[in-house]
Order: sequence, then structure tokens, then C-alpha cells
Amino acid sequence: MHISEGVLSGPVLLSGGVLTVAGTAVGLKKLDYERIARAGILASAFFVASLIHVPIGPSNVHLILNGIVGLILGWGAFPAILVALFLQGMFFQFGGLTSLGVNTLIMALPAVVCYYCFGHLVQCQKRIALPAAFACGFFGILLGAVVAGAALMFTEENFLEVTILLITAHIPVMLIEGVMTAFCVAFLRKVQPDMLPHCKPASPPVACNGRSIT
Amino acid sequence: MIIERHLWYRCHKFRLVVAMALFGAVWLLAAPAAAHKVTVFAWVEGDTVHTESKFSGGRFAKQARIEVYDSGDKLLLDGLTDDEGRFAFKPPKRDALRIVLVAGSGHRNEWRLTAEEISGLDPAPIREQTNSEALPQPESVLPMDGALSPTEMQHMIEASLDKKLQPVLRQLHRQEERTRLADILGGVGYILGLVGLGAYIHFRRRSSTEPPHAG
Repeated sequence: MHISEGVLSGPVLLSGGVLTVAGTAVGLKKLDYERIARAGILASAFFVASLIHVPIGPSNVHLILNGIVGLILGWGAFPAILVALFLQGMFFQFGGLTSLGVNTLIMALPAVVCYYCFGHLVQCQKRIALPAAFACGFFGILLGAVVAGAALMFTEENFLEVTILLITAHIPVMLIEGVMTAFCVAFLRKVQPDMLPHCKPASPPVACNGRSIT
Repeated sequence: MIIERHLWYRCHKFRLVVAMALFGAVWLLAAPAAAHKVTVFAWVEGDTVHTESKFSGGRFAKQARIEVYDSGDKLLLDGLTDDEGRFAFKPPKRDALRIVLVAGSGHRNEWRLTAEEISGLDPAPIREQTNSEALPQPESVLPMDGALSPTEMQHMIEASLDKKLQPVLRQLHRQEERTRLADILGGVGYILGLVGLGAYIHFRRRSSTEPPHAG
């Protein structure tokens, strides 16, 4: 899903960059102290996940994890994914500096969309929550392929063709990430439900020594 | 009661972190470092430029487009790679070459060959290769009166060096392409550093808004 440097035309790169800057600004504004560490862990997971390569299917694809990142961070997915993609570009030469904006948009926009579509469902009863979590992981990638197809449409290729190609290549990853997101949500529901969105803790949060945090 | 409940919570938070770390470690060990990137590598052998294209992770880029540009960004030739990601061509002129691989769906990479590398190409067949079998006496190939000119000698040496060095160069290229553990740890370290920076800024801001020695 990383678009290499030199593929896209200037206007596409620029508009991708502008949208990413806007998304990152919103994300940073919403990223309060409680969520900074969370964003860091998820950014690290996102950073490393791209090295896990799925050798099934016609093409060469890897895990992306944008569904779960979006589910937990909401708009915070933008800064987290931006940082992780920047480091992937620096260390692994994925994507590139000029296409950083577009690539962030490709992966972070679906994350935010998934947050709004499925976020409030994962706190429901298990029957609804787990399919919603699966859908979150699944559509995170699917929508990413659609955004990538839209970005590539303006260069030389046909939107529908590229998008279908990208989606078929990513079907194994979509399924794997759907299942993984469902597992993560099941785990978090048991262990730390306040990490999931739209959760009101039963009692005010308390610090280590029992005093309440203000 | 509150404290007890809270200890339970802390305990699970710790378990969560441990579980995540284990999860990550297992995956790192299970999957050899592989990635989503396409690379092209070109080398000169004799009068031909060979290219090899693959996705990192080891898959060859089959039927991918190769475009060759000169130093003035003029398209010299193009073609498709075979099923092993290879494509070879004879450069039409001796100039620095830019070999661009376009593998579709936003995958693209390039490799540059400098003019010096290209000038090592020998358009004329090397004397030794054509004559060594036809002529029984080596003296006639390498006479003492200097029939083997310095340029011919140089060509011979360059040809054999190309042949000998080519696996080394490819090996070097492969080494460079491999993702190293240091890179992964470095990236994670940067992210943790940013988290620390965020926390620092947060606490600085909070301590500057709070009245001194409150409570």
C-alpha cells in the first residue's frame, strides 16, 4: 500500500500532503496525555507490522494494522501513522519522503472512518462487538485500497482496474487483520475496556496511591 | 476496596504490555524480514547490461516494465522482465543510464549506472575469446612484438573482472536490502523518544500553569 516516490504527479502529492497535515493537526489536538503512550505503542506496532509479510495470494503484501490503530486512537491515528510511515521510509525505504503525505492519507483516513463506523459497536454485547471488530480490520485495508486507487487514478492507470487489483491482492491481509482485530478487541474488553472508544469507566480513574487524577 | 480494585487493574495493564511484547517478538522471529518494496539492480557484463528486479521478500517482479533513460532523461528503450525478474539490453550509447522499474500499483524504483561503468563495455569481441581455439600456438596470440595492444589487454582484464565481481556485487546489494534488527529497534526507539517528548512537554506545560508549591 506504500506508493513509491516518483509515481504520483505534483498536485496529487500536494493535496495528499495538505489533507494529511490537516488530519495530523486534528489528531494532535485530540491526543491528550493519556493517549500519548497508547499512540506510541500503536505507532510502533504499525511500524513493525509492515515487515510481516503475507506470502499468500498473487502479490507481495504485508500487514498494515490501520484498523486497530484507528479503533483505539481515533483521529490520533493520523500522527501515529505519519510518524511510523516516516520511519519506515527512513529505515526500510518503503514509500518515500515526497509520497509520505499521500501514503499517510491512504492508511490513516480509513482508520478514522473505521473509528466512526465501528467504534461505538465494540462496547456492545459480544455478538455484535466481535463482528464489528472484524469489519474494522477488514474495511481498514479495503478503504485503504480505494484511497490508493484514487491517488493512482490521476497518473496513468484506470481507477477501477487498480483498485480491484489492490483489493484482490490484499484479501488475505484483510481476513488476517479482521481476525486479529477481533482478537485484540476481545482481549481489551476483558482486560482494559477503557482503551476502546466510547467507554465510560464505572468509577473515576484512580492513580497508583488511590488518589483520583484530575 | 478502591486500591484493591486498582491493583487488579495495574496487574492487567502489565500483562497487556507483556502480551503485546511477546506477540511482537514471536512474529518477528517467525517471519523473516520481508517487505513491500520493489528493487531493481543492474550490472554490466561484457557488452550487455543485466537487470534483476524483485520485491523485497524475495519474489521476482515478473512482467514488470523496465525503462532506460540517458543522462538527459531521454527514454532510450523499454521492455518487460521475464519470469525471474530479469531483463538484459545492449546500451545504445555510452552514457550514464537510469534504469527505472515500474511494477504497477504504485511500485517503482530505479538504479543508476555511471558513465564509467558503461564505458567498461566492450563493443568489439575480445580477441582471446574468438581466437584461442582457432590458433593452436599461444605465441601467435601473444606475440612478443606487442600485437596485443594495451587497450585489448585492458578489455580482457575488465571482462574477467566483471565476471568475477558480479556475484560479489549482487551479494552486496542483497545485504544492503536486508532489513536489519538495528533498523527495527531504531525505529521503535524513535517512537518511544517521541512519546517521552510528548510527556515532557505535557508536564512542563502543566507545571508552568500550576501555582508553585501547591498542596
